[in-house]
Formats: sequence, C-alpha cells, structure tokens
Amino acid sequence: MRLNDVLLVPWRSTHRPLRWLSLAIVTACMLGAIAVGHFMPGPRWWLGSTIAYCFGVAYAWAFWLCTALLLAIDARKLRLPGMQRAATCSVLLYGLLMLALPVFVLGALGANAPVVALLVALAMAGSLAFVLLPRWCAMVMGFLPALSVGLRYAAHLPPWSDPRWPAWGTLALIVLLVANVLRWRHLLRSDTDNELGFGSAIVTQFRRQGAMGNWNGLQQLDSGQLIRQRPDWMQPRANLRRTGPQSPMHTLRVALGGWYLPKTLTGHLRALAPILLPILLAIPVMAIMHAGEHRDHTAHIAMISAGLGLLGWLSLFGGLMLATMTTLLVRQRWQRTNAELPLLALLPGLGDAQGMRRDLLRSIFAIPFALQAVLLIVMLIAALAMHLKGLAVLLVALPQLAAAGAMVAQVLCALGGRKLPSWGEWLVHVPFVLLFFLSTFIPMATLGRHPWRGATLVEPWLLAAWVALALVVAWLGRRGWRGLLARPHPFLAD
Amino acid sequence: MNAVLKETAYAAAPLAVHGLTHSYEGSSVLRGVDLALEPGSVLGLIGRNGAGKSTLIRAMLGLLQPLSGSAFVFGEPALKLGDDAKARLAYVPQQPEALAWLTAQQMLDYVGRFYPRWDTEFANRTLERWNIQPNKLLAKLSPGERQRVDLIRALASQPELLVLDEPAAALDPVARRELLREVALRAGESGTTVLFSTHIVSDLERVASEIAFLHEGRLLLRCGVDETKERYARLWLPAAKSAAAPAQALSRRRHEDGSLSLVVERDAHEQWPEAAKLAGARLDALGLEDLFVEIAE
Repeated sequence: MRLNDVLLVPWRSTHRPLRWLSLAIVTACMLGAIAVGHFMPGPRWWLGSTIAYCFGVAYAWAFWLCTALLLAIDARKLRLPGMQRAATCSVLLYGLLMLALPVFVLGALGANAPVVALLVALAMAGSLAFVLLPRWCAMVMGFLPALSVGLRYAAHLPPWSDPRWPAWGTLALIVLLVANVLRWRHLLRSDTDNELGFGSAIVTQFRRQGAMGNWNGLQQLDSGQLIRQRPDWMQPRANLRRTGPQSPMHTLRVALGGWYLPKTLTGHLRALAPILLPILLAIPVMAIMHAGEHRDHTAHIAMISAGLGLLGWLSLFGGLMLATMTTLLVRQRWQRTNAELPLLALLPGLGDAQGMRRDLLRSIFAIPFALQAVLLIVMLIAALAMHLKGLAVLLVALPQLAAAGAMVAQVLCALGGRKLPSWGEWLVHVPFVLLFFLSTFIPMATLGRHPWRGATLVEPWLLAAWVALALVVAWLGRRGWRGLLARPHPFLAD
Repeated sequence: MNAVLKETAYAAAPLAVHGLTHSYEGSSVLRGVDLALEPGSVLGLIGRNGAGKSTLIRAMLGLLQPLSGSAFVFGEPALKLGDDAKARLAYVPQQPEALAWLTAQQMLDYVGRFYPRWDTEFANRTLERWNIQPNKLLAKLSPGERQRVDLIRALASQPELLVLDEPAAALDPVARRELLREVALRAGESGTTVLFSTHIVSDLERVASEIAFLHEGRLLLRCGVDETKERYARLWLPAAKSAAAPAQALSRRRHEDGSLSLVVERDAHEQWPEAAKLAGARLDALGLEDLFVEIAE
C-alpha cells in the first residue's frame, strides 16, 4: 500500500464538482480561521479561529472524506483488500493531519492546545456520525445546539469556559468515536445495498450520480427512489375517489404524483410526517429550553427569532421553491419513457389532444398558482406594514411574479420538448436568482433608522433588469407553447 | 393498384407502419421500416440490444414522433388515436415504472375506470395467482413483480391488440412460461393480435406465429416461425469458389482461410442460389437461434 494511494482516496471517491467545491469550502474556512485569529481582539482569539476551522473540518467530514467508506464498501465487495485498507488508512491519516495542523499552529501561537484538539476532534467525529448514523439520528442531531443551551442549566452541563468542560467533551468524543467505529464496520459488512430508507446512513446516498455533485441530482432522484426512502407508515396514500374519465384533472394529478397526488386525510398526515416529526421533537426541546429560561433569556429569544426567520424565509423564497419543485417534477415525468407518459398517451377517456393539453396545464398550474397568489398577498401585506414606498413595493412583488412566470415558461418548454441546453439555462437562471435576491433585499435596506440611500438609485435599474428578464421569460414561454402546440399530443417524452 | 391494395391492407391491419425513420442525436435508429400485423397474428420482433425494437414499438403506438414515415393503429394515425382505438389496445413497456406511488390494487382500480371492457375479476384473480401483494406500493415491488402487475393491467383491459416490449426480461422461468401461455391463450381463443419484442429465441418458438428480425434499424426478414428452417440456410463456399457467391445474402462472413459463409434464402421458385450446387459448397439448415446469431453477428 503506497502513501500516494492513501492520500488520493478522497480524490477518487467523489465526483469532480464535489471535489472542487469541498476543497474550496475547506480552504475558505481555513483562511477565515486565519483572518479571525488575526483580527479578533482579546486573549480568546484562538477560540474564534478554532471555531472557524471547525466549520471547514465538519463540512469536509460530513460531505467529502466520509465517501472513503463507499470506496471501502466497493473494495470489500470486489475482494480488493489493498484498496479497502487504503480507504481506512486515508480516514485515519486525514483525521490526524486535520487535528495536528491547528493544534501545532495555534498551540505555538499561545492557544490552549488540548481544548483546540478536543474541539476539532469533536467537529470531525460529530460530522462523521451525522452521515454514518441512521437518518433519523441526523434529525435529532439538528436539535443538539438548542438542547445544549437548555441542558446547560437543566443538567448542569459546564459551559466552554468551565474547567470541567474538557472532561465532558472527552466523554462525548469517546461516545462519538465508538459509535462511528461500530457504524463504519456495520455499513462496511452489510450485504444489503441499503441506500434508501429511514434507517439508512446519509453517506450511502452520496453514491448516486449527481447527489451533492451537481444541482441535477434532484432530477435524477426518481419518484420510486423517493418512495423507497420512506417507511410504510410514512407513505402518503392516494385518494382515488374522484378519478376516472369524468374527472380528467383529478386523474392527471394522480398520474403526476408527488405533491400533486390527491390524498386521504391520513395520507396528508403521512406525507407531512417528515415536517411534523421535527416539530414533535421540537416540543420537548422547547420544554427543556423553557426550564432553563429563568436563568437565561437568550435561548428563548433565539428560538422565537429562528421561528420568525423561518416564516419570513418561507414567504420570501416559497415562490422560488414552488417554481423549482414544479419544474423539476414535470421535467422528471417527461423524461421517463417507460412510466406515466405511455400510460396517459394510450388511456382512453381523456379527450382529444386539445382537451388533454388544457386539462394537463390546469392540473399542473392550479395548485402552484394558488399558493403563489397567497405568498404574493402575504408579501404585499408585509411590505405595506413596513411602510415601503411605491417602487419598493413593486420590487417586492416582482420576484414572486417572476418566479410564477419562470415556472410557466420552463414547464411549457418541458412539455413542448423545447428545453434549453444546459449552458442556456445557466444564462437565464444565474441572472434570475441574482435579481430575485437583490429585488427582495434592496427594498428592505430602505427601512430602519439608517436606511441605505443608494437603494433609491438602484431600484430603477432593478426594474429595468426585471423588464429585460421578463422579455426573456416570455420568449422562453412562447417557444415552449409553440412546441407544445406542434405536438400531436402532450404525452410525448422529451 | 399496388399502392391502393397496400393502403387497404394498412387500414385493415391492427398495427401498421410505413417508411418509418428515426434517429437519436444524429445516429439513425430506424431506417425506413415497413411492417403490418394481420389480425389475430402473434408477431415476435427479434433483434440485438440497440437494434431499435423499443423505438419501433414506441413509434408504432404514437409514443414518439418519428422523423418520417407513418404509423397506424386500427387504421387511425398512431399519433392521433381516438378513445375507441385506445380502448382496444394495451401496451406494456420494457421495465414499467408508472405510478410508483400507488399500490398494485390502486393502480389497477385507477386504470380500470377508463376501459369499458375491464375485467376486475381477472385482475384480482391473477394478482392472487401470481403472488403479488395488492396493498404493496409499486415502488416497493421487485422489477419482476412490477412487470407482472403491468401485464395484468394490460390483459385485464381485454385488448384486441397487445403490444409487449421485452415482456419476459425481468421474469423468472415460471412466470415467463405463464405469461407465454396467457398470450397464446388470448391469441388462440379471443383472436387478440400480439406484437412482442424479445431476444429470447425460445420464447418466439413457443408462442409466435411470425417473426420479424430488426437489425441496425432495418427489417431484414419476416416470415412464419415454422418456415425459417425451410426458407433460410447457411451456404459455405471454399476460398476458391467464393467469387461465385450470390450477390443477395442476408449476411456474409469471410473466414481466415478465405472461405465464405452466407445466409441465403430460397427464391420465388423455392430454389436455393446456384452457388449451392458448386462442388465443395455446403448448405446447412439453420434453426431460429442459429439464424439470429448468423445474421446479427
């Protein structure tokens, strides 16, 4: 086994885009750590520097270096013990290197080396546990920061500044390391290729082409895979009561699947389980935080701020998410030649081509349009409540309208078989997303005690950019619509 | 006159294509295919992987728009089928993936509402006979089980035309045998016209009345399954006589020693080519599988 092979494991076990992205993020975090160390005043500069470094380390172990396990699994199945050893050694080697670097550098500059080592080791072991442990554990781990704040008082956990903290930290590290080793061995020796399922490890999903590697990953995750990911009790059951030749729209919604699928009440609850479960978990977390509230209001304020932030975020970007979800779903359905398209194309009772086209478009757009209208109204009420002026209000409304327009254009392009090539899509998407963010945040910069005066100068330019983008979206939509009209029926694959 | 006769034959045929061409990303997949099925016949479409079988079937049913040529189902243009023609037709794609979010029973209920002659009893009975859990989501079934559910879906609509794209690909030998029996039964008792693609030659011999051999986007031969042995043969000519090889041959392969192997066909007078009578020439009868291999190799 050569050192070269060991060092190259992370390079060989990941897709190229992920490789470069990971390298960029880790480098950025290291530079951030240097900057924090350099500019942070006071004797605890090293703590800030270590935390910045830990972010990079945590990312690397959660999304990059953990893929060595996939290589080890493949090597084991192919009976290549040398490669399997190289994968295991690479994990140990990179772990030691990533630990040694800050300990020696920061230690030499006067930092508390044992605490640095402990923090970095916890970041590495914690992020590795996040991807190795069953998926439901990851959900619980998301609440750990909030829990730690509450438990500090309820269970008398020592804060970082407490001299007892290293002992607690070491104990946590040992637990994480043991869990990681056991889980690594289990996944390595498991004969079933359990990539999906609620009890599977997140790392096994990284094997799929595109996942984490490029944005296209979502498109490659077909409905079958999504369904197999969930246990039976979380499967949304369809409500077929109103399907048949008399209700073509309802019928088409069943065929579109995903969030279009008409569901029973139980089906809705099951479908919402991935959202409801974290909320149920949040209740005991809040109770614990509330128990510690009489000592510290920070946790309470943080929780309320997080909730309000989430609602605001959903209102701002909900339209964009809806547009993306709708477009991805339709594209996915119109790419698969062996699935719903042949079934619908040959199903009697859906009417002539014109009727099918009309019903299909109504089925696809009715729900997203209604939701986008609600979001738009919420945004406008919020804008008026914040006393935004005329052009600013328009700029707040425009992103929502543009998201709806872009959704229509892209769906029509998919249905009409006139999808732009990838580079063309990037040419439209990048300015669109940029404009979406600018148009959402610049009007807000005019609020508060110190409004940004430059905003009034930028706003007319933003409006002009929106007009230009609207023309592009209209051209795309017309292109797709003509393609759809030219097709003898709408159920032809791309 | 011939054109009129041809048009009449096409209008009467349950499934017919004429001059069909198609290509993917500049690469030709179908090169002027003409094919018409007679009512009640069972046609096995055979060819190697990538020969264009699935594309031909999809174009025949109006599931893709060919570059040129026309396709008709029960005399109607395949791309503009009416409800009546659709109700008389059933198609099972290769590795069906439709409606993964429904259970097997739900899928059959959902589809059954659209077919006037839907046989619910057959669907339920066959689900039970083929050991498929009706309340299991389609996404969670094995590929073989999923293919069987789709076959039940196709058969329960009691079609007059049944089109199956590699129907046995994911099936175990027992299930394959049951499927072939069902297909033969439908064709024999109900007069269902069947088109199925495969590269499993034994399936063809078991159930097909005719075969059509698609190679590199062209229909190389079409004949009755029983005729192949009498109609086609391998002609081997020694190197010294290879110059006398007939110009018309389905395949031609030169060996290292200069000798030549050809797949030849009897002419209109049921005669083998003249070269077969040359001294040293050898004529071997070909079974269906040998014929397939000789042509496809």
